Amino acid sequence: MSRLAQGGLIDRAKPLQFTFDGKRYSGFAGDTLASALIANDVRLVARSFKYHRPRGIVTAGSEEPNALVELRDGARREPNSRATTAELYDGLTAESQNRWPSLAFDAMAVNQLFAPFFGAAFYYKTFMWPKAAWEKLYEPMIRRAAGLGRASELPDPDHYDKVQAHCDLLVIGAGPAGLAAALTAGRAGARVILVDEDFRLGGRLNTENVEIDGSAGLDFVAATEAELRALPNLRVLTRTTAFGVYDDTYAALERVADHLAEPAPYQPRQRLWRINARRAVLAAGALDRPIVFGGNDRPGVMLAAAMETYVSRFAAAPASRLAVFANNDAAWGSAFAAHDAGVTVSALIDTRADVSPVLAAKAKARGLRVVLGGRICDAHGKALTAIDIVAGGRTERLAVDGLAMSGGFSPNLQLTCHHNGKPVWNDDIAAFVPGTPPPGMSVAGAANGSYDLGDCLREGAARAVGALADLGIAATALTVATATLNGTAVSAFWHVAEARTKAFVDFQNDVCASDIVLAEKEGFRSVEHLKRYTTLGMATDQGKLSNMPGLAIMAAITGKSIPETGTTVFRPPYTPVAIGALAGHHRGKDFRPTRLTPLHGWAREQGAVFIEAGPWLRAQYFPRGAEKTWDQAVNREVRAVREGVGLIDVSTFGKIDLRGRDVGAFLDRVYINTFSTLAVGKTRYGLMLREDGFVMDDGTTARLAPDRWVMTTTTANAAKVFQHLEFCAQVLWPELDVQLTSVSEQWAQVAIAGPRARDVLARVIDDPATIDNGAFPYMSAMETRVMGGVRARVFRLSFAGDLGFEIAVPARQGEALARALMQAGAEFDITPYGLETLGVMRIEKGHVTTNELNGQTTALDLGFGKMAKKGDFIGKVMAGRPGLVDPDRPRLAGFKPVDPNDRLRAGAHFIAVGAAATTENDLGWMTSTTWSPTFGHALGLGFVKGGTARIGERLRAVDPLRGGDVLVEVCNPVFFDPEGVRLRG
Amino acid sequence: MAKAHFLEGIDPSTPLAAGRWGAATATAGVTMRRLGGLSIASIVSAKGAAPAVIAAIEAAHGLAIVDRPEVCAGTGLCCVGTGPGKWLAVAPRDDGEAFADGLAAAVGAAASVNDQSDGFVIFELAGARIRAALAKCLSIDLDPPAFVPGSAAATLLALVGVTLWQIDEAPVYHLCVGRSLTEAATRALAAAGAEYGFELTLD
Repeated sequence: MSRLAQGGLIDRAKPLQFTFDGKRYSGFAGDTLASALIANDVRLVARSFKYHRPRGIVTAGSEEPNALVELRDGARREPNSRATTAELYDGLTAESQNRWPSLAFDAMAVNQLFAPFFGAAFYYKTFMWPKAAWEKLYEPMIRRAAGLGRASELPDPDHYDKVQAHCDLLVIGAGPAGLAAALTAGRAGARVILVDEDFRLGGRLNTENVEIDGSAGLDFVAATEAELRALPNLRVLTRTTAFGVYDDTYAALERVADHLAEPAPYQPRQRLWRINARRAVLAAGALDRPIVFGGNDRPGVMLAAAMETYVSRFAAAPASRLAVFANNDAAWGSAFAAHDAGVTVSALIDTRADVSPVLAAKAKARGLRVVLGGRICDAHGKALTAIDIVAGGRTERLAVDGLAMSGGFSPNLQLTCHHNGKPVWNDDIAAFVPGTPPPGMSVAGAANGSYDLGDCLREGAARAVGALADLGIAATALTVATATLNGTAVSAFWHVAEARTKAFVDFQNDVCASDIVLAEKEGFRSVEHLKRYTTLGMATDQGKLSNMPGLAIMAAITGKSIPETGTTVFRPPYTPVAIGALAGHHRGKDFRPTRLTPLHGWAREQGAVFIEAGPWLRAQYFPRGAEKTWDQAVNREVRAVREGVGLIDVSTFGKIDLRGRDVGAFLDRVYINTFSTLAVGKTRYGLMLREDGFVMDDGTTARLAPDRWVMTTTTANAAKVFQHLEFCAQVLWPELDVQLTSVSEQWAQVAIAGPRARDVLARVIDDPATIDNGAFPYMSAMETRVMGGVRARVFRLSFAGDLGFEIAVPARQGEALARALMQAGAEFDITPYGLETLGVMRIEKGHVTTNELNGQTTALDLGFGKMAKKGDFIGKVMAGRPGLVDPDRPRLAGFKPVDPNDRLRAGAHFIAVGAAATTENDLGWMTSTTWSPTFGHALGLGFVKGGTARIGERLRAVDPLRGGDVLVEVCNPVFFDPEGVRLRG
Repeated sequence: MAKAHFLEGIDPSTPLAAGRWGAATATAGVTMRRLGGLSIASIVSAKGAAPAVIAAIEAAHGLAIVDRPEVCAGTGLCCVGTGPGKWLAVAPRDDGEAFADGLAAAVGAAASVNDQSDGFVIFELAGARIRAALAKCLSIDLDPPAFVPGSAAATLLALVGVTLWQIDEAPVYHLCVGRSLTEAATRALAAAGAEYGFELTLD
């Protein structure tokens, strides 16, 4: 056991059992999986992505590139979980990933033997040919070999939340700078949200042995937390990562229940916070970074700051004999902490020739061996057993089982880049510091390159005061008189040139120093090219550890400075985010709202089969008796309408009430045809164009009174048309007196069609005389009463192409109307029909719908050219563009198979008989097809060059995708009742 | 197993039954009650006629309404500002047609009035955790002083267009939803309120 006998922020009274790769271990509450593994002497935890090299734990945070495991099992198994952030709970199970047959013996480690061939761009260069082998052989092979973990293929049993929050100040990070900012702003009464990725507030104060105003750092954290949590205007979110900055909005992920075996009943697993913050202080700290030397990826080599965290915070010693290799003062502090906790520190190797006398004295007092101006060129052992130290021209092998490395710190400035801010190089600390952060954000503490504890506290408080001053809120900065002074000196050092073995830059993607040399040699010198050629920084850790050393090595090779070489830019998310959290409630059937028509219950009683039509659930067909297939039901429904009467729920149409003096003029401008001349009591078909001249929507508008009109839109475009009309009324023509009201929800609407339609309506309408053919001819409209006094609107219209009426009643009366019509029509065998039957009949009648109104067709294409009036209307000018009036543009026509036994397919293309089926010979395409029970053969609508001028011609309808080639005859698109006798009957 | 997904067993076309859903807390943290017996009408002013509409409503009903996103409630009538010169008028009576006709007569040519009693459903939302639940469905700020009793908003609730207004300090809210989308809105609130205990009442 490597658990230290005392210390640490773990609860030794709460032991927790867990398994890793099937073996049982125990840890304590307060442990992470990583710290518990270290405490149990488990050093080999993973195999690397490409070479399958043995890997250990490198960090103590979310930047971990190596210790990725499959966490949990069954439906909750989650691959690539970082052991360093997974909180230990009783019964936790984890497995290593990307190894076979076992972690200790991985057959794929043979890849290392081929390493000389596996350099940068290996795949691009090697698997180029034969082309056919890519899909069948190379890709599956590579995917098997270079994998990450396995996702559970079971449905996710957990629930995710998306939450909105609003605040004056968002503080990101609860280390000393963040705590000072939050306390300052909280005391001022501002609305504050404080988020931290960790499950404990405090950041570095949880690890470092420091004093603030004479108290221990941890006491400062405890007192501050108590005060913050008592403030009603301040919300503390732990286990919460702010991962992205968007427009005025910060996105953060709270891991609500990831520290539990499973969420409590109804508790979400994770919560996605969308935080609308007027101001933000980024106090995300800084990350220690690796040095590139031979074997720097061996289990046992970790970052110095992480080693200190394991020793101090988790009381888990990562090694029994430790060496420290660094270029900065902070790592000395880590070495002292390890020594003071009882770990043997065999050597402290610093690349610098000189360090401050204070540090040297502290090392001497502890009896530590210090090697100045030294380097480690190689590390040895499957798990670390020895290191080669180069100093003063000599190489010395030293037996150690742990190595803490530190190349200095990189500020966690990722979020400052999310609005395109470019980091700025600071030579003094050998790191990039924030450039221009997103509007409203300021940066404090280590994230700003200020590493001194006192500076962190002061900067955090000052940033909060400044941010609140912008908002007109007066705040008094938290004052700190004294804080422990630790050395912050650093001297840039990146790469040990003497390394004889593989020296890793990007641990997660297995990118070595040699790969960067190769990339440079092959001309990929720009940072962006380097990244893509070698995959450096492209793993799930986004290069948090690797970008800087990679950039520095490229700079050294090319003889340029680091800022000349490039910069690192970060994009959201800071850490990976589960898709489930982004979806929240909107998954499965709740992906989007489902809309139900007022007649839904009635249709269900009638045995309807429903289909999703946009957000709506609509009756598709109504199977009866022994009907086994949908087409049997549809054929029956079509015949029932054509021979008797049928009814359909058309409540989904958009319905817009228009009132005002100028509605006629308004409609003349939005429709291509004239409406101002429409008489009261009449309805007219209209076509609307977009500004670009293409058709937007069609529908009918009725005039109910001189200044009252009601428009019907297609189901699909209901919202879009309303929005368009509002835009026209508010922005384009504010001088017109027009008031628009959507009444789509208020009215249920039922269409009845067929030769007996009038007979049925006559029994439901209060005054049957008003629907005589003379009194109420085709295209009439009226407000009336049905079912004994129920307010109704009746329109004489038919999409089915038969004698037909549409009856609108208040939505709550919709089902009663349907029942009344069913009862009234019983003697005519009235038949409910669905969307499929409507689709058949509209093709028979040549009515266009979404298939034809697809946003790429013009009025001319659709055969409505003559409808357009002389005067102006929206889209008129653009519809006159030469390409749109080209006589060779495919125009609407009807099609039927020459052999009545052939079926037609939408999507088939028209080719002249005898011509080859090539793009050059393409004459157009079929948009809608059906089998017509009325005609006893298939019918189609489509667009063909020449349109109806080709009536009588024979063409091939070729469908190479599905292997169809049918001889068709071009027809009038109106197959059924072309003279409209039945409509007017 | 977590029981978060009770909605997955209920098709969106099947109305959620009245009663308790979600966590078995002593009292439901979130309550949703469908209000019956209401008449609802939309009022859209003619160009520049909003002051005339305000004057007409005051003359006819003794209620001073404002052309802002606020609700003004009197005895027998409340008007919710839903847009410049636009209101939703709500009254505790079940003759929507006559209610709308009466309003139309009062405002005359100054506005168009449409009976929407069948088009909208109004819910009362309450409970100790209602703000937390609404934060999962709405993007607007519901904390005072941004939103206080009398405040109203036309906004989106889990992709459903709604009108929301605050009744009192508790807080209690009224939520107006299009009839075709009431189940979608109910499901969204049931999911949001599940962890606090959710109670649905259908009068």
